[in-house]
Amino acid sequence: MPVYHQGYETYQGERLPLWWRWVPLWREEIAPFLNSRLFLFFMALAILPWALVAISQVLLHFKVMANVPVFDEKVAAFLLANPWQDFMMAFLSIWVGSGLVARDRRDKTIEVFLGRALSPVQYLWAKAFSLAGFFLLFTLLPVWLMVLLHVGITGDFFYFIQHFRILWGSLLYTVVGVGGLVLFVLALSSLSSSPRLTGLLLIGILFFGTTAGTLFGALGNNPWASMFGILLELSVLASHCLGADEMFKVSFSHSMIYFAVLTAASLGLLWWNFSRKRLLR
Amino acid sequence: MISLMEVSRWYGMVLGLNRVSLDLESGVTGLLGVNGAGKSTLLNICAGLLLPSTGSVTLGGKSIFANPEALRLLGYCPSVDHFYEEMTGLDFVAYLARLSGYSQDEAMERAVRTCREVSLVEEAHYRMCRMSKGMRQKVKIAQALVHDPDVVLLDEPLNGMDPRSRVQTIELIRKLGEAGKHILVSSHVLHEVEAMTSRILLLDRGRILASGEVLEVREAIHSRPLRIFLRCADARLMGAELSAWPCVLSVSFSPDGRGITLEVSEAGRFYRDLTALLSKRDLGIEIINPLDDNLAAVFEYLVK
Repeated sequence: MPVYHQGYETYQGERLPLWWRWVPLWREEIAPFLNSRLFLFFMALAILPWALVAISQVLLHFKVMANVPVFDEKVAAFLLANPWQDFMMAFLSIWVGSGLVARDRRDKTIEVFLGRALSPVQYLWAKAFSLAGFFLLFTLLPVWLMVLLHVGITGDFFYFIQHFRILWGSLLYTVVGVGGLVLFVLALSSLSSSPRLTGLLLIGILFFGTTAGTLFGALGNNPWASMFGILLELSVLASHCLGADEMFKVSFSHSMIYFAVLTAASLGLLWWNFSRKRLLR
Repeated sequence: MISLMEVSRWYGMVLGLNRVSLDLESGVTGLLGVNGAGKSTLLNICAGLLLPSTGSVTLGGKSIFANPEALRLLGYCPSVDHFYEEMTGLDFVAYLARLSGYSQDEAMERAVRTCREVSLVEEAHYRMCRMSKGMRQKVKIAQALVHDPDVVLLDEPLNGMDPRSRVQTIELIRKLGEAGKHILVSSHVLHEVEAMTSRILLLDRGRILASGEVLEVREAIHSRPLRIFLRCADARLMGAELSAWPCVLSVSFSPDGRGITLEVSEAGRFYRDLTALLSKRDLGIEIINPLDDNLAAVFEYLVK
């Protein structure tokens, strides 16, 4: 059998700039999920409450329905901070997040990726964006779409000014809260080369932490009990960011500090693992 | 192209590499050493996967560790398998080509071409989990070559390949070297390295024992004179003639009386003088066979 001619000619065409090299990695990461009907079904379930509220707003405007609250900060806070949303966040974190880095460590493909023209930051960005992208579909994106829908059907441009907090509040919640959660999941996933073990850890932390926080909070009437559960803290942050302060007893600064510490710890762990590529040893 | 300066690497208390300095030249260089000599550590450091404890590694003048600008010039074929098992070989190679910045179509085109170059045609469409060891090995080589890198690091590339594939891969590596690529190939199998290149880098316990052309290295081992076997019509006459030469250290005759084995201190001078002698007199020489100027002998003398 012949050895084929090796095409040594230097490639003259366009190549993706170095800073966009994370895109193929991200696309490959999300492709299996987008090809899974079960996953799409759960994503639809996550978006369902938002879709229902959007429909009710249209019906309210056309007076088909009455007694429906107008979409404002409180409705947005409720939609971002409720058990259904928490469950979906946890569910996605476990399904998508557990394998983010752990799968590459298990298959040892991480050596191939980091041995190419891809920096650890780009690699981590691609992985983080895979999870964050799914989160955005039922956090920031629907909030902003609801605002646009409201303005679109009512023609009330003053709504932007009157309810400007919805826009910056949801953005702050997404950057601080959802971003913190994504980094936490990513850091946890980089600790092990077993996606299953990471998944179990996430189940323990996200589900049982939230349950423990709720129980301690209810039994001891201690508002600080929320710090046991990341998802509970996420709800606290959402309510504060959107001005629905009465939903939880702990302060805004408590939430901000909590997520600042969580983010710093996660970044520290990722830096430790990736700065000298210790996880390749 | 790739340059290591006083590179050392510790694994806790174990010294993996000990003050290694080298400049990889264009062409194929064979990296040799026994298990644990530091070959994979050296390759991982050259590939930017391990940070040296001391010293520096540069590729094209740029530091290589976590530097995409430098890593784009490099292709690395690791010794262990690194795959997504559910992907086909072709998809995996195309995926890694996309990570190197090629568009989807260009990446697929290059992946098909590179898979053909490593003699993976129909098998490239198999899922990784269905591939034999040899096929997986070819996929690893293909992914290292798909983005047309200037420097190629191959860690035990022939492992698990059948004899025909070995010959094809050796031929491919030689062609790459002739085309001006800088190739560093590690292997345990000396005759395969010998078939790829005559330039070696010999590692032992993390140190470079020798580097350069095999013959040069062999000549530099002064403690072991080169042994040359001659068969001729009149061995006694020949032996008497040669024993007077200063570069001939000893002469011994074979039992049949037609062969002599010489120990020579300077091979180059010996061959020059012998050629001059044979041009003047016909001594009926039938065979001139150097017994230990090959890679196996160099390896044995230096490592054992």
